[in-house]
Amino acid sequence: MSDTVLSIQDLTVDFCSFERTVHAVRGCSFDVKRGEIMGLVGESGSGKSVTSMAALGLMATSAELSGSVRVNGQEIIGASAAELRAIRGNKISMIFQNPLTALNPFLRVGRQAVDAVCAQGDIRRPEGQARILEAFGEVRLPDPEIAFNKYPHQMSGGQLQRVMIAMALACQPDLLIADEPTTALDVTVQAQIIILLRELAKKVNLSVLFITHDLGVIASLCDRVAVMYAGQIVESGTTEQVLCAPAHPYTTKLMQTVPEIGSLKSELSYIPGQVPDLARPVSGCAFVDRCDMVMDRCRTLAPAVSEIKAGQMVRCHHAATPAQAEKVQIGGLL
Amino acid sequence: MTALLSVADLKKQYQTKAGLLRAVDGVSFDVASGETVALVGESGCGKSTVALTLLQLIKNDGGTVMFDGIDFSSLDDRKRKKYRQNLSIVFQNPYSSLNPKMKVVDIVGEPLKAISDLKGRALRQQVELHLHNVGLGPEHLNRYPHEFSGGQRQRIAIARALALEPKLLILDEPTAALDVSVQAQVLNLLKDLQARLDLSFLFISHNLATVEYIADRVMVMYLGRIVESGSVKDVFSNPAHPYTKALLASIPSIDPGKRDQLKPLSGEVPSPLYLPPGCAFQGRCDKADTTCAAQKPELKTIMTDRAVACFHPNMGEFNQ
Repeated sequence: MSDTVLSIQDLTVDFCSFERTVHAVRGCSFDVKRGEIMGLVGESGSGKSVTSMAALGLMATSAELSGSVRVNGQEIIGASAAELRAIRGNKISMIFQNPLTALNPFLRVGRQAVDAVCAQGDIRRPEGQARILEAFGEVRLPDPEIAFNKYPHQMSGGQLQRVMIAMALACQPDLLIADEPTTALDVTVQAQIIILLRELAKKVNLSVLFITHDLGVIASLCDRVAVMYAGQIVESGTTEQVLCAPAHPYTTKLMQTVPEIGSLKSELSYIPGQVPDLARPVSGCAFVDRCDMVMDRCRTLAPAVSEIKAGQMVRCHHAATPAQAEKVQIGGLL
Repeated sequence: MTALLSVADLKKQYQTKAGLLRAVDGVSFDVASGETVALVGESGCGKSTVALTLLQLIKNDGGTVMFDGIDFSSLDDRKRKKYRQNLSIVFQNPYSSLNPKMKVVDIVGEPLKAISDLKGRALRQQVELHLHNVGLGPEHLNRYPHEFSGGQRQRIAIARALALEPKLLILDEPTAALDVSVQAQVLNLLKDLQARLDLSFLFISHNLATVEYIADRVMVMYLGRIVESGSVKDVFSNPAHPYTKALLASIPSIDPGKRDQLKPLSGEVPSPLYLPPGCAFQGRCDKADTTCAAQKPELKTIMTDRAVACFHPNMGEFNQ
């Protein structure tokens, strides 16, 4: 099955204030297909969280959105509160970075999880409870009945994140959005959550939009990946395509900054400079100040998206330089 | 070579309603001059508590901290102030460790003012020098922390830590709050400073890849005890303790082809309040047997500069 669960087309998000307007997302487009784990990777401030919040219609009123976000064909931007309520939980669920702040400290976790399931209309509490207990088992919480009656502070970070995942999945959504769900956890727990998400996605044919800044997590979990920089997707493709043969200089550089065990590098590389100020208009390519392959054209002309291999899209004037040329199969490049 | 810092049987425990919590339970190690020693482990294993007791920011309940031949933990407050110049710390989060209401010149100048009677232009010059060391210029002196990026803030924190020209710098997860793209910049700076200023580092981290890059020796902690120590190269290529092995197998590689090598550790860290009588790791270990359940393994030297606290260490490659 290859139907599209989430389709984002040319999304822009602006935050306006008296002094300035920040263009947080500047024309972002991608799809998530059914049963696929899609990774969205980028530095802080690249717009990855804003994009995911927009997909759930969770933006503050100060945000101005344009473009289109469709979930199973239904438009999110401009949808009424009632329509959004029917989509959230039912069609899209979300898990957040810090499970301790995402749960109410005054209520037992079971009660909160049942609330979420029952908020969907015609489910009664006993049935909701049964579903949650089953979901707790599925995410491998030890002793679901005991966990059900615990308060958030009585559980560890890894357990709480399992509660969040169970809560999200008990609503049987088509799409799960996970915003850095493992960043606050230890590596050992992170590995457990990665394996769990992999199994669950396969079992219930769930689509996942996984947001992270960790390329290692992308490599071990995702089917496809989109690299985000300054509010735009600069490269996307299958995980193998993007991580094994990156075509955008930013992806290449980002890969080089990751220290790997056993590589014994004597000097680690880094990306000099900073993410551009998104309140200022970007003329040309946004990566121009940090790129060491800059040409004159990069400063004046914003690069268009070109497909260098089936499924691998790159937003760079260099996508067809001699070094890359042999990899390029499709014409029509800049 | 005598050790610059020598910690012996360090203990810190907290009396709680539910019982005695042993946060640090008999930790001993040395840091030689010019050396980088890393302390790794999961959250809650006591690595930050070790750092804070070394500085006497919290009092230890047992053991000694010898610095340059002086027992640091037995000094009174006045004397300790003098010796504390030799030890300094950089905290994890540069967004909370710098006072947002102070200018950079005051942040970096504050330790100098506390120790010396430098004032006015002389103080400013000294601050400029320390900022120059971490790659910041005089134009940054009058700015506030919010005007800097995360990587630059961590540089300011490093400049402040180095203002008193310490011999040992404790780095408590200095890159955990930073993006990978700038993490390398801070690590390179630290290596460069170490070479120039002949510093010793105690590098605390849960990120084993950065440890491999920066450290000479590594100590793995689990629930308040050191379970394995040795040179970074030996320990990472040939982990003897099952916990070290599991930690290494939990790190996702950026090579999608190595996806299947990710092997999570089963179970959770047990509560430090209700530790089993024997080895603290027994519940998550596939080698655990009756000995492990009955006795606590001691940290034993298995070869030169290599120690492990396990009854069934992975000795495969050592027997040759």
